[in-house]
Amino acid sequence: MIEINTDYDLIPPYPVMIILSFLAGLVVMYILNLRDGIRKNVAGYLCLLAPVMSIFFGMVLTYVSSGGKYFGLSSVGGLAGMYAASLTLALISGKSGEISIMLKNCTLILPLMYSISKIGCLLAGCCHGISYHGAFSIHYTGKNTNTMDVFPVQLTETVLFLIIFLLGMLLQKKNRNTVPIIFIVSALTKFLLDFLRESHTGEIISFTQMLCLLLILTEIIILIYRKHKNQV
Amino acid sequence: MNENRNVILLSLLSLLLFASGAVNLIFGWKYYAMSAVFIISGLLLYFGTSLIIFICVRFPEKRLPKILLAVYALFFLVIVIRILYATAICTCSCINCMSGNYSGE
Repeated sequence: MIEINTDYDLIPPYPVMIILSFLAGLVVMYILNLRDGIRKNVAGYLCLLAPVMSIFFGMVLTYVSSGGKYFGLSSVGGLAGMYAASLTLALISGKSGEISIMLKNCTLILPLMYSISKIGCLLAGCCHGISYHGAFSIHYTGKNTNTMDVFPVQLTETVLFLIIFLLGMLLQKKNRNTVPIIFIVSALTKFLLDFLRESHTGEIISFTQMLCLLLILTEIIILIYRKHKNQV
Repeated sequence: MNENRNVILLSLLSLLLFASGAVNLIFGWKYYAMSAVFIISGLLLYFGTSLIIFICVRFPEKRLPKILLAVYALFFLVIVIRILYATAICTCSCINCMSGNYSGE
């Protein structure tokens, strides 16, 4: 059993881990972009636009999907913001080849960012799992969560998405389909793990899961289209 | 000369977009629950920043857009930290924390 007290004094862990996830993701994306031939200034400006867009989209998705009732960072919204920033910078730079490079590198670093940000959720007690008393269960105490034993879904996400990120980095040069596969595997992992969240209780399929399915479907259609285009 | 004028005009336009977004964002906190102020602010900030990045990329030798970009970056940093902090301390899912009225409830 892992003990976590969600009472914190001065520095809340959630924003610290979110900031760290952006720092790690942007540094790796900057290096990957430079290595793939993106100009230094364009790669740098992307690091300025991406976190703002990601946080904005992340909050907008929660805000809109809750009917204007709640604020909070949605990971799927954050993903959309990262892609929007990459696409904007690629269009500004005016070189058609840079669009695919930036989107590819964005896809590669997203599992890393998600992995780190989930440590923030784990420590803050949000997005927690279903009631569970077995091995590796999380025992929460404190005013943010009250006392409860739950499945370590955030920790599982951290470990799995770190593995996905590492696999993506290792295999990207060896197989040209690595990036789309990483994208599908990430969305599928998130879709499946959402069943283990307490917020999912009583629902057949959550809004986040619907978005994950939409992302998987879109990527599959793009893959089929590309394959068809190559054959022609 | 023509290039200078274009850069200044585009910089002013980006400043206008960005300032509108910033004013919306700062003074619109308490209206978030009722309107799309947050979304409009975000979009204005996005278009303002994108425009200034566009000038910086297309006219790399100009100094004015770079100064504006530095100011924008500083503003964004403050806003991002403010939003993250509000998100972190808010456990009640109401709008008070975002407007700076967090009561600890």
